[in-house]
Amino acid sequence: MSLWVDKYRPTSLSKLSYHTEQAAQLKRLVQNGDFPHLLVFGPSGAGKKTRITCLLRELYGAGVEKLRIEHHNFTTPSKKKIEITTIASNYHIEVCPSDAGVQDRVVVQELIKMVAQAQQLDSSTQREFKVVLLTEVDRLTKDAQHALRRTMEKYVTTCRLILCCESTSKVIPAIRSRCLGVRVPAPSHEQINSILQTVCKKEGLTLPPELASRIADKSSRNLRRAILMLEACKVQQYPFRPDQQVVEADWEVFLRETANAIVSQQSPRRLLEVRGRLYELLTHCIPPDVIIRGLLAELIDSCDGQLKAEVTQWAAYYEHRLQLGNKSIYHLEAFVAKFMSIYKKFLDEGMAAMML
Amino acid sequence: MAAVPDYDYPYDYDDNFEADFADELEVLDEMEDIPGFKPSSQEKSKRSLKFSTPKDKGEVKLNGTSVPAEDRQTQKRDLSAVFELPETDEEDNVVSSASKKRRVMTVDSNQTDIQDADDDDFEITPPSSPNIIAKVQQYRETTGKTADQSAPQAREQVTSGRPAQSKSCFLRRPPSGKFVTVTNEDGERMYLKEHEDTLHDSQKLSGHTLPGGRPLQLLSVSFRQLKDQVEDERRRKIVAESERITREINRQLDRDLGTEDEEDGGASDQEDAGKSAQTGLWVDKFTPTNYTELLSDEGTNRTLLTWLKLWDTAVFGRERKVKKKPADQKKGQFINWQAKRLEEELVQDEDGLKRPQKKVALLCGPPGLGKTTLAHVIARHAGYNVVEMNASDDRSAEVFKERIEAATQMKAVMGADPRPNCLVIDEIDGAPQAAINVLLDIIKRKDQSGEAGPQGKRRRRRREGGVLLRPIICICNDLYVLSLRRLRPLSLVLHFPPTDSTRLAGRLLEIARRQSVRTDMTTLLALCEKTEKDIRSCVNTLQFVHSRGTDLSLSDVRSMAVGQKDQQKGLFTVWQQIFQVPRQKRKRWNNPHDVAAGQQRAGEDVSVTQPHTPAGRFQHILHLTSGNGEYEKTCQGLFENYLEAKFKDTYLDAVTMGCDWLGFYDLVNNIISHIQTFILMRYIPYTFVAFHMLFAGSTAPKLSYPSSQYECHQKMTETQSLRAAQQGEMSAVIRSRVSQSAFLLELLPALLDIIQPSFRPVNSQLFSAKEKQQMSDLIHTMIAYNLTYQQERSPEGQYQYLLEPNMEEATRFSDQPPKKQLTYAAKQLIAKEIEVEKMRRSEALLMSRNRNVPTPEEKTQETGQKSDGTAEGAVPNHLAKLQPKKITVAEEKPAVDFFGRVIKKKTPERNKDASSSNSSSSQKVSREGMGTVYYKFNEGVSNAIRKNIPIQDLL
Repeated sequence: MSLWVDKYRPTSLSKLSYHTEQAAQLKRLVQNGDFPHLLVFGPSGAGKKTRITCLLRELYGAGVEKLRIEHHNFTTPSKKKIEITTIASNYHIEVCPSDAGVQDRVVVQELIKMVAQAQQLDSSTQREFKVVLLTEVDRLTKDAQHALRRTMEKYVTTCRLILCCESTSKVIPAIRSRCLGVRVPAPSHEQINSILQTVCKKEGLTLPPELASRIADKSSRNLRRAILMLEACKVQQYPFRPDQQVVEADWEVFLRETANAIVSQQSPRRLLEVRGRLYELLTHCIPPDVIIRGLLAELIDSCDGQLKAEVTQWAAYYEHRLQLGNKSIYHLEAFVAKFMSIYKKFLDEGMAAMML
Repeated sequence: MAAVPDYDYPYDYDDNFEADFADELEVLDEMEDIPGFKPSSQEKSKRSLKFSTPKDKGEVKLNGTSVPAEDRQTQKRDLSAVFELPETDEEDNVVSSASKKRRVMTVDSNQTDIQDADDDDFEITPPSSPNIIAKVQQYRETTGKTADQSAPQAREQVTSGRPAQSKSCFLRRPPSGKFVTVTNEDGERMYLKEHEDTLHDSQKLSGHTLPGGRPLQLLSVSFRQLKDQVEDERRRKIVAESERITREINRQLDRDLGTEDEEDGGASDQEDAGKSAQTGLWVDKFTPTNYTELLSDEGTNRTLLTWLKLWDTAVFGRERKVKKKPADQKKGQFINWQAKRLEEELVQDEDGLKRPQKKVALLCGPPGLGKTTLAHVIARHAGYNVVEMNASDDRSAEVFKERIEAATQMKAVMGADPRPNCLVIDEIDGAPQAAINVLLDIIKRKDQSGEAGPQGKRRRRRREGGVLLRPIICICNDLYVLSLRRLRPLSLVLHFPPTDSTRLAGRLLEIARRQSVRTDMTTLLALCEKTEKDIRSCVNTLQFVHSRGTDLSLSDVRSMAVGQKDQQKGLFTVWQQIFQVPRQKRKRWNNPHDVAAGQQRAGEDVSVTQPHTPAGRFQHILHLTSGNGEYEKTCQGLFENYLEAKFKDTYLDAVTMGCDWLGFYDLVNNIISHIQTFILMRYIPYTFVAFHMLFAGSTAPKLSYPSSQYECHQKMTETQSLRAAQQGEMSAVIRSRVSQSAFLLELLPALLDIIQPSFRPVNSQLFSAKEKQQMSDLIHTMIAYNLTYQQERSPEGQYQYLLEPNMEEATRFSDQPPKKQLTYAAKQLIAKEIEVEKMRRSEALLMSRNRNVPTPEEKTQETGQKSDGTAEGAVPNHLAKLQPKKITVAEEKPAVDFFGRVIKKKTPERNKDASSSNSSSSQKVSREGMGTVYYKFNEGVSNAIRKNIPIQDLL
């Protein structure tokens, strides 16, 4: 509560500072009484969860903010015990089924059944449905998603689902079509700028606009990150200076250095070193797709225009294989090797052309 | 073929002869009295009776063969048909006319024989054995008519021949011996001596010698001719037969030599074996039975034997001799350091039972090297009775224990073999852990008892559980199975080196010679090579080849799939071979001649399998890797090592391709594990082939075991659990706001910066308002995110405060400079403040619950308003001691019982009741304490004084 991110998080739809039009729509949706399943998607740090919380508050009032942590135990058909933690109020339950790994199907089925089968006692004063909030739906296995689609229809009278994910590409169409999609785009630079200024004003600080825009830049339109960066900057040095260094996450720095290592030399030996670094990134639980994306972003910068398209294409190719496969290190290394190969050929051709 | 009856036939015949012709012999004995008989001639006749065809017999014996009984019988029938016919006719005549006793008749015929024998070499007179008589009778029935027809003619002859001799024949007085009385027309009684008739018979039989030249017989062809014909025919038949049989029997004889030690190698068995495929395995048949026949490495054998001999004192109770003589012997042969060490060990051994220090011998090595055989042979050699347990037995812990104890503590009493047992546990690597633990217990526990127990107690112990007094030999293929881990240090581990291929080939050659498989040393060497010196496999292959009836040649061995088992090559071998191009000259099958010739013509002979050609390499690697089967580990090893391999690759094309193959492997593997389409498994080894083709170099690569993936996984799990530990205790509100990945990626790095503000290095009492605010912010943040500092002692002995849970570990990267840290004092201050704040909060929560009235603190906690909380937080530190006010506050509170229910005025009364019985001092205290301090009598509990003290009072 004490981080600015938490402290200045809006708690009602009317207080949202951007995407206000959408907020109004959501409000109307609630007032209308009927409420479909929702699929809220958008990049990290765009405000999905904030909007969902606001929506729930709009639905049930302040009571929804009294949260408790519950531990549920499920037994799979193969007699394996799964423990999963949920965050619940009297009106809703939030769960991240992908915590259960490959057994998420059981969680989805059992949990929703459990919630949906308990009718609200006093339906005259309350809504007649509860809300089940499933986060990180894109990490659900196909099995679980298929299990979900029947459950969604079956218990629609007593239970509404709000699915929250970053990308709908991994949500099966059957589920997408059963939900009202709510896209939460990332805030623009200006929006981030203004929010940073608002936060500083509330904290009684003065923020130079240059620094604000730099932070907005660095945050890559991720509001959570932007506010955290701001706070980190403040801790680092208070009277802000416009040219103040913006603190970056360690792994980003590390990834950039890795990219530099790749660009500076292309040889099997270097590839071996890079592998060590990739391993280290993985051990810090940096998702491999984030790594490949970060690498691409860094590598692209040092590429000639001609190469950019090709490198991007290969990055996409290996990222796809990464998603299909299981051992991410193979695919990451394959991408790096491919890049090295392309890059070195390009350099040598360039050299040869210069010589002639 | 029934060879035995053939061999035995003559003798059987003789026996029957004695039995069947007892009466005739009797008669012969009687006749010895008759002066006309010579003993010698009688003997001769007997000899002639013995066997119909002495010539034939001789021939049979020469060949060492036997004429089939049936053949002989048919011959005999022919003979009897030919030779006996006249005689029987005569018999008929005589019997019918003179009604003599048959007995007399036969004697007569014998007499004629005897007489004839002297002047004529016609000695083939088949005896009228019952068999033949029956045949004769049968014959008679069939040829009855002709006999009848011929009978009158014969009678005429008889009558015509008789008058000439009648004068001398008719006797007035009864003659001595047998006679017949005849009365003539004159009423004169005459006596006829039986001799008459036989004479007549003899004339008949030897008719061809009669004057007149007319053959005296019933057949158109003369006896002599017939006899010659039959003789010829028989001889021809026998020659053909013997030729056929000679070959057969030579083979069997060879086999007989091979089965000298086997008792049941009877002739009939041999013939059965000759007909169908042999039932017994050669492997069993040619198992070494004594020490000198062992093929395994001499050093290993000797070490095991030495070890086993170390048990002599414990088992047989005989003292070990001081090793002077054996040492000399050994010097003569070779020096076995391992055995020597073992002997030294015994000296060091402390347990009173004089057992060797290592109670168990563990033989390990690839299959087919003769480990089991060695154990058996040596145990028997050392005078033990071998008790074997193997994988086919039930090896659950209880059964295992039972059997071990049975084998080690008991001894055959009833059997003829009172030798002590030696337990051989075969295939121990397949036994469950529990069973091995039982074994370990037996070894270890006894160990201690043996060491601890003085001599006197030992006997009792033995009765209780039994000290391990018998050697145990364990046999395994894989020494490094997890279950054997604890057994290994306790046992004498003997690695089995591969058998010397020339020795093995020599033995194979011997087997082949005995079993008349045509082959040569070169072929057998190749076979040894191919089966990787697996004795069992070699012998089985040999037997297989033999059962097909073909000879084993070099080309057979090369082309054969037989004998080539699934090679379980070690991972390092696999990697090595993948990364190394086989040398050009290296041949798969070594030809010893080539080796002798210095591998000069090595190139010629490798046309069948060329491991250095691309195709050969392809196949080789494919076979190698699919034989190994551990694809996952193989792949990890390749991934770990391929970049270190020496190969030319300017533009990293090969590397890219290799990576693509790895990607392929991963995808296939993923699909297999997800949807269980194991048919795809067959495509996996091609990855390794591709790697071989891409990265194989000429020199042996330095290989390292792939551990990085495992380490990576390990660390990742560590990080995850750290995160889980942190998130697990975070409040629900915070927790619901940030997902796992966002927490690690975005929040945590910034958070760790945020919680390290710079403080002035002064006492916290001297902080300005702003600093205090900052401090409280920090504390709240850290509590909200479940972070604190904990004092820990570093290895250098310094105390330091570390973040708990230590998320710094989780976010720090190796090559980045360590972040600036707060000072020790600051951390200590923060840690203390966090503790205080936590206590304050829990107290406030408790209070609010008890009163059911929301306090300001509670509100702060719930809504996140912080200003009140910080004000509160500032108070207690310096006000802790001055608390008259607090007491009054506390007094106002109603007393509350354990469950938080308000206790009304009853309580003091009850207290009084309780205290009145107790003591006066308690009343005094209760009066002074104004009801806040009270006694409550708790039975059995000493700390009966209770007072509610809010936590603020203590801070």
